[in-house]
Amino acid sequence: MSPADYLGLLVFLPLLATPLALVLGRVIGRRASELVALSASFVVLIASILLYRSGLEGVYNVASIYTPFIPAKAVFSIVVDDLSKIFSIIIGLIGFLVILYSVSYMERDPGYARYYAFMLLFIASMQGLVLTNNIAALYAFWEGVGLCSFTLIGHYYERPRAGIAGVKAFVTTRLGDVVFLAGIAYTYIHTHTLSLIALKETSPHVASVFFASALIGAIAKSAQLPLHVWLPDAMEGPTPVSALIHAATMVKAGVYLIARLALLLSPLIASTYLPSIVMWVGAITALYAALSALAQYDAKRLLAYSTISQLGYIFTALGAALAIIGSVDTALGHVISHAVFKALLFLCVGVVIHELEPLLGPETARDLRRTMGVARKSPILALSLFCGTMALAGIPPFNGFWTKDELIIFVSKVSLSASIVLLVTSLITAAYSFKLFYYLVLARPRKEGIEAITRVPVPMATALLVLSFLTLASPILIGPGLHLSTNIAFIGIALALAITGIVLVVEAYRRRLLVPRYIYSTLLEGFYIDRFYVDYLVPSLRFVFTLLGIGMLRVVDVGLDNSIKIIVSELEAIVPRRSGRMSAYYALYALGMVLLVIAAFALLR
Amino acid sequence: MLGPEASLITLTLIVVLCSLISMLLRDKKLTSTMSSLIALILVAVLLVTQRGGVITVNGLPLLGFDKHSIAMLVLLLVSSSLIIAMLWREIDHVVAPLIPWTMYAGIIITLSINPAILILGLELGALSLTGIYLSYKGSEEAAVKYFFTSILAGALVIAGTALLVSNHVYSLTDISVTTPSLVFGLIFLITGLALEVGLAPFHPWLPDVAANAPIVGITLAILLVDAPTLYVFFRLISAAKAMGLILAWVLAILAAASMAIGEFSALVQLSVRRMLGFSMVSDAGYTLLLGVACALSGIVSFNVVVYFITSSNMALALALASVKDKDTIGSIVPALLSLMGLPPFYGFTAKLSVITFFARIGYPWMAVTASFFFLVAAAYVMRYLMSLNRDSILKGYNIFSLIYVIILLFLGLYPGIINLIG
Repeated sequence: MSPADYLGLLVFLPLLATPLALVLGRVIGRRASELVALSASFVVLIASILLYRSGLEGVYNVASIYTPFIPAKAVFSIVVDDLSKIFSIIIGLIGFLVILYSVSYMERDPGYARYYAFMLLFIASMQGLVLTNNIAALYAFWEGVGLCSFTLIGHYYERPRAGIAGVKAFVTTRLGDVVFLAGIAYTYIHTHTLSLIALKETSPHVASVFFASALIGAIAKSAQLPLHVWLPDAMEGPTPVSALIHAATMVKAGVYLIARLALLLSPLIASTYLPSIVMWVGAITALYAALSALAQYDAKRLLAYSTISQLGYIFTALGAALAIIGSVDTALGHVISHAVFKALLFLCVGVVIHELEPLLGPETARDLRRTMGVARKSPILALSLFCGTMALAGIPPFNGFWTKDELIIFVSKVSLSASIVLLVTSLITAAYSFKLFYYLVLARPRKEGIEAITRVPVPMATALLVLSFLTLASPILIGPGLHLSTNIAFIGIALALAITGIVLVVEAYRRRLLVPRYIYSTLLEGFYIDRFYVDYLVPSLRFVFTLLGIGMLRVVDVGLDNSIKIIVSELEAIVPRRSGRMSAYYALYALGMVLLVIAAFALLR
Repeated sequence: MLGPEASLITLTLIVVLCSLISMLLRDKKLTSTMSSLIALILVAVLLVTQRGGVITVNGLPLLGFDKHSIAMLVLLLVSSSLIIAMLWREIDHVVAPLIPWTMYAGIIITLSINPAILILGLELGALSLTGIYLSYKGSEEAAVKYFFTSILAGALVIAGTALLVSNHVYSLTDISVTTPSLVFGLIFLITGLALEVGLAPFHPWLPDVAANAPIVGITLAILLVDAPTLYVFFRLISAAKAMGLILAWVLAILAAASMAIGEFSALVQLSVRRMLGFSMVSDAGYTLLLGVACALSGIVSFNVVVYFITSSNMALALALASVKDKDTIGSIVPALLSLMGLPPFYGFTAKLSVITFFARIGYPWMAVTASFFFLVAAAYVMRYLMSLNRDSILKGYNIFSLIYVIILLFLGLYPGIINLIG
């Protein structure tokens, strides 16, 4: 297949299937939407596998169709390399499995047509984002990802919290997007090109400005400190959406962007302070989010903080790669592992919510204290939770162990202190991931009347089993390959810390240890960062903008409004009243024609 | 692929046959379904027609099946099909047989490259539309106004054609003005077409008809007669090579006058239908300006004109079709947003392409003038939208209006599809 075929199947097919899923869902019914979404996402998966296995490598210009709003010099081209291939396959795989899982999860949801349409648009936008070599197109897909996350997080818009969460995700990521757009404009003015690959040829100054703007965009999109506050709230959307956002799409967009720029720009910016910023933003976020996750009892919030933390690991590795102009393979390895185990964990929690939500309501169904032991009677669910949590904790032989250790060793070559922060984070990660497993599988039910789950619907079970298998096999099947590190000391320390984390949790629950209330509250509230934004920063900004707004309103009222009133009233006086008589019209036509003839002949002379 | 002759014969047979069948049907659902389907069948035939084919008789070119014309016809016919489905309650056995002929007229006008064939298309369109207008009570005045204007327009086009032919000019796509009689011929032709499309000062009939004609009639007129005539008008102006200094500036002033009169008059209208009527006047102005720019620069962009004509006429038709019924009133909002040129609707892409085209070929003043009048259009659209009831907007969609809106959105996001269709 040619690059144009891949572009068509990976991007334009799901894009075209989007309105189809919406319209057919409304006209024919649920099955039509499901069929369109499943078949389109399956084709995307197959195409991404074929692309991964193809020998294509490099930049390919695809014959562009005339688009009037893209500058004349811009060419729609795609970049095919290991990075784009791996991201493409992650999006294809997780996208298909999540849609398959959704067939059961969304079976009672009346908004299914809208849901499937936006899921397909989400997949198309992400595939476009990772394949394009055009910065303008990249930004368009970047915004497409933001739009889809907004609509899908706010899917249950009749619930006030879901609506607010959708808006919060949109507005927070917009902050980064605006800066990123400014960076694109600055770069275009200086380089006169929209080619991503051509950035390699630019000056270090322009490269630094572009990278800094992209970093702010990526920090917002990938929920890194201090723009992470939207992600824990994004749990108000349907759980498969959370799986897609966390594993394959929204938050991975930022990671992809930084990885791509690391490959292109690291020789130009390695000597600046930017790699250190990336590394330390990542490391601090990893530790912060892991601590916050530890205190959560809302299963989805726990996993959300876990995502923030794991992305912190990946950012740290990317920062290290930038600093030494090295390979991004270690970061990429953990991207794959994280995509697999995080999708698995979200889908496991989704099974619990799907079963218990009708009985307990949306919020209680996610509370680990109310759902203790619900997974203990379902072998598939218990096994999937085991694989997912052990991979997250970094226990061998699951994928998280190989990639996380590799990542920490890589970081240690650049900054020992950052790698120590990540090692400490590993301990906490193991603790909260085992907490999740303990509550859902090992603990005895606290409440009577909540039956343990015994049966998992076939589409859900299929998705869980595939992902469970991949927690073992992904380092061999996808990505840069399995590297058995020779640094036995680091592996030993990391493994010991992970096991210590698990033991600490077991002991804490066995001995019923209580954490001091103020520490617990601080961790639960994510160190009050969100509270600070909501209670202080936003009201302050609102106050300032209200003052400005009042001023603007006066200008508009006094100036613009009155001017328009005057213009309209004058126009009413000038425009003649219509008589409606054809004779008057004919006179006007004759006059017009005479004028036309006179003018033509006058000019002819 | 069908050859041009086979395609024309197939199109004619379909129209004749469907028109006859429509006469026999009595149920409004059946008549409207039939009319809606005819449009889609015509689309199918056009899609399998060989691109670039020309029908000639005795060496005279009559009809040309070029890719831009076919793309435009496909969009206009699909829109007509949806509009008919939206307005199915108004289509009875009297109106239904006339609809295929209106479609046929639209096809003939768009594909015509010979003045005589253009006259045939215009007369066919005028007759079938007058019939549709007369089929509804209370629309008689609009019908008479339209009919008399069409007669005058037809007479002028015939006179112009006669003068062109007497100077051995047989094709609309290649006119070199060299003699005074040719100038007269061209002016007659331009005046006739200006009357058909409502270019100032030949416009007063248009808002009257837009306000009082039956909705089915006026929407079909916008899509199947106005849009094709605008397209032919553009082709005529842009192809008048030697016109340059003789007529270009006069036409540019006429275009600016149409834009100004259309947009400013729309600004003070209290009736939304009259407002849209004046909007059609200004659209004729933009198209004429595009034609003048192409003639002066020698750079002809059919993409830009197809974008502009289809986007504005599709939005106008949807807005008019939505305005009457509470089941479809909601779709007036996206239609007007597209008309005002708000992204990501099709109108935005079209207006942006017009402005960038003017700037690209070295006429920034045209870009500035067009941008200014686009802003005026945005002002009256917003003024109307602010007056709408929010609840009725949210509920006022049916499946056909929804598909129409999706098409407007899709074309806005991916206008290149038009080239693929063509």
